[in-house]
Amino acid sequence: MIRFKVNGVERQWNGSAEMPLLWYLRDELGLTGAKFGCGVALCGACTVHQNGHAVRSCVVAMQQVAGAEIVTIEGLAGGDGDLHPVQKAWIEHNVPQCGYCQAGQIMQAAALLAESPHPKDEEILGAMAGNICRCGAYQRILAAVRTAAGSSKDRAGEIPPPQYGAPGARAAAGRRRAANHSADHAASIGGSDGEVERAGMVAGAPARAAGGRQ
Amino acid sequence: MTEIHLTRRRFMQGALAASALVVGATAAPEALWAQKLDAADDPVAGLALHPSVWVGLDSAGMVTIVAARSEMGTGIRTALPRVVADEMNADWSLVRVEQAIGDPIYGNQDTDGSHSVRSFFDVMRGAGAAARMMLVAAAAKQWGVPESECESRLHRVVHKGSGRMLTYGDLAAAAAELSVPRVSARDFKPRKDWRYIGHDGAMVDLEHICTGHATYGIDVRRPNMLYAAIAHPPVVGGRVRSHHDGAARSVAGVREVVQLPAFHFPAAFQPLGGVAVVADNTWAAFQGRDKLRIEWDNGPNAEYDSAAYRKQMAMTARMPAQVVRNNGNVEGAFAEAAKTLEAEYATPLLAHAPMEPPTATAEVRGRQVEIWAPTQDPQGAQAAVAKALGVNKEDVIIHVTLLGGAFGRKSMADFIVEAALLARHMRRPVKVVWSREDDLRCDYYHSSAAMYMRAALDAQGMPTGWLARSVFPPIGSTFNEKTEYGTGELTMGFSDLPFDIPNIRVENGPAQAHVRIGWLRSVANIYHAFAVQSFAAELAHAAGKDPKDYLLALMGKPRVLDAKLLPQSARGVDQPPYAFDVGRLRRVTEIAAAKAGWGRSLPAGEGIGIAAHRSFLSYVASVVRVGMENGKVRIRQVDTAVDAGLVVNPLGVRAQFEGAAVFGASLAFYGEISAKNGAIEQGNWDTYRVCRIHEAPLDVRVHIVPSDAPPAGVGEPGVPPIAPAICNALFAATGKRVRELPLSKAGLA
Ligand code: FES
Ligand code: FES
Repeated sequence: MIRFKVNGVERQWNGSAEMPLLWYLRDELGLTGAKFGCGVALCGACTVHQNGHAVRSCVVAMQQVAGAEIVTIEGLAGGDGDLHPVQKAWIEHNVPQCGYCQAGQIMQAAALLAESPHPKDEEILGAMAGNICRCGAYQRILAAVRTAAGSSKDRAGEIPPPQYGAPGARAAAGRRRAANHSADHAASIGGSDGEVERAGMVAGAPARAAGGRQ
Repeated sequence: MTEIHLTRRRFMQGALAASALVVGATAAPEALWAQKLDAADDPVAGLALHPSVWVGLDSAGMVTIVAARSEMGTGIRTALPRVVADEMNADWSLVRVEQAIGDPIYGNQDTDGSHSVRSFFDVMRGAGAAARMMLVAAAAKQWGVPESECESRLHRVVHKGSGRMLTYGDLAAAAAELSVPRVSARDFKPRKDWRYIGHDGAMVDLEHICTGHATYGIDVRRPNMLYAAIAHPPVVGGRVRSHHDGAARSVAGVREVVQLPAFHFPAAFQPLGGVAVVADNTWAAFQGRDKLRIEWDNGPNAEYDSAAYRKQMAMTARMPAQVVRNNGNVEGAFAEAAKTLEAEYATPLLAHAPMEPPTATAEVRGRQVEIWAPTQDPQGAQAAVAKALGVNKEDVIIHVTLLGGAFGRKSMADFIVEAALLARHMRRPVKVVWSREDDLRCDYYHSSAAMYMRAALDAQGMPTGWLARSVFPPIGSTFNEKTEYGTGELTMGFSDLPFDIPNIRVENGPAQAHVRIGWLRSVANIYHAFAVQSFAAELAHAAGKDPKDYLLALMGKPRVLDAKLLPQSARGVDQPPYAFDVGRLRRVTEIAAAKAGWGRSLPAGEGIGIAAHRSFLSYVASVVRVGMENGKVRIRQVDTAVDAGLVVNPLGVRAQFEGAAVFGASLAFYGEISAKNGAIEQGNWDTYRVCRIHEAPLDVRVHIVPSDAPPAGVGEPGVPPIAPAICNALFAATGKRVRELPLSKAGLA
């Protein structure tokens, strides 16, 4: 029996200990906010918080959540229904297009700001590099994270170009963040080879070993 | 039968049933823009003009507006209802939007081809105007005054003389007693009074999306539902020779293993066949599927090697082919040319890869079928399911969920038919979920293409002759596997060449399809714009001229393209007021260049490139500025100027063009699907890469050109100019001319 909390509610699970948290949330609990986009920690659509850190729930096995506090997009807003600053910023910037990736993007951004309330652009890009948006809402995602961080009141479409740091700088940001996360998550946001740019590819192998499916 | 028909009525009216007033657009408003929906062209389009249900109003004043087109991220579920609300003088905060089921009563619902606003703008205005007129008439009747003394204001009607006022809610019941008036364009609000049309509006699902409460196809849950994963044949046309399911059945939670009907050419919308594992949850279904042992007969495409076939296509492109457009005397022009230039371009197969993989949920009760699916084409799905199950179309209800991206993939019903077949077999609701690997390996791919271009040049380096050949497995092959030519594709940016050149010949060479070919966001415009706009820049370079000035010179003076010069196939809808207006293409080119600061000096190592292209009746030019980092292209800035005619929701349109820049960059940088022994080699985002945030253009500036022209497309037209503009910028930055996509192949991305 695995015990844990989801959005503040005590839960227990008797089924497969190998089952990824994502499918428990979606199919068993009916919390469908976290989305399936790859199953192997490559896209971030399934991102939720485990003890405050962003994790890819598609590669977190149920046995890994024993004793953990899980928060999903449905539980991100305050108990009074007041939206999280990241959600407010997302609405202000009209970020979503199809919206499918956005729960994952918002959870990733919320975890970033919890850890680093005033991130520089390269830190934002490093933290968000594991979250794919096929619709290409990235420019608004960046603007919304900046707004949520209170760093500017930029309006979508009028943002100054982001400062691309040297790859080394981005990698450092990636490593810093990775160090604070579960092994699975570290795999998904930045490799130890120091290339956030290659996050997607680096993530593949360890993620599959951790229960991914090919 | 009775039951389903009652059910259908309930769904057709949905929340409208609770409304006192329900308004259909009873008649076609006299088309404002000379162009009418062409019923001959499209058998269901004409039906939009017949009575149908669009607007409801209850006595509390809540307005329900039906959205009949699918929402895949383009914002159409917001844009068209805002047109109704505007014309009705409804308060947008008192409007709820309800998604229609698939039903011909709504006219064409196939949400593709970037024509939702173009085809439905007047229909929506008609519905809104009818509702407003009925409310005014009801108020006049109640007050015993002439209608001319009454006026509709925001969500209420006032009597001008006395100042008396009734809210829309007050009037709902009385208005419902009136017959729906015939509306004509004269009844429409004057443009100066528009309050929503042309003004930014946040998408109706925004808050639901940001709180995780929006329902996509994959989120559908039905009581007693099972989940299915399918092992599809690795090669299109392949079949199951034998399979062993012992290990699959031993996975906890697996209920059943089902062999699906074998595939027969042509592909059309049928499923690929294979073996399904049905289980208590998605994970168990996936686990079971992975444990199947299947021996496949790979069928007629077992030898297909995409790299080898692309070489063959390039060779075909060097040979004379079927002539599609022929103006003047091209041979003569080449014989007399001061100089000639030729170039070959190539692009690979591409996958749609929407974030939400294909998925559908079905429930079958006797001969009645209910489906919940992220579909672009609910009526197409209805027909495909009816055919596969041998039931009446009317007995298939298709609920359209939000689509987690689609880009053309979800206009195909193969995955929906799978769900219906399995639900019937299991006698329980079944949700089919495709993995990313299923999605990338079983797509209806964007065609690969080979293009050969040759220009005869005069002493100034301007072309006197233009020969262009395009070779690609056509989309028609999906519906008739013998099809090797694609007339429709040629009209997408190739045979409708807007350049002022006296001698033009455009040809189409044959190519066979070995995979299913489909429509991807902007379709053949992707490869044709790549070839034409790259070649234009190459000619500019050869002439020693500025690429932007040269491009404008190629276009020639502002004019409407002479239809006589175009092939019949390229005329299509390009009639007035949609005829190809070179002046508008020039204008967006000039605006994009000016906004980007074309001509100013750039930091060392940077380059700027331009491309202009008209597709889906919209005129778009993009200027891309790139720099190099560690030998790879980085996009610094994109300026896109767009003339899409009348724009309903500028906020949504800007988002579409921002997204199109990313979509175009993804395909230019990384996009490639390849096949060996008939099987697709890519499987997930590691092997089929798309731009991540740090790789994407993040400074995309969209310049909407104010226009009085009728509305044109916005979902797709932003894509075609991006890849050639990137490659032209890359050339400016490095002197490297890339003629084959993606750039990652040359180590440049
Ligand atoms: S589903 Fe893609 S990272 Fe989990
Ligand atoms: S909004 Fe569609 S994938 Fe991000």
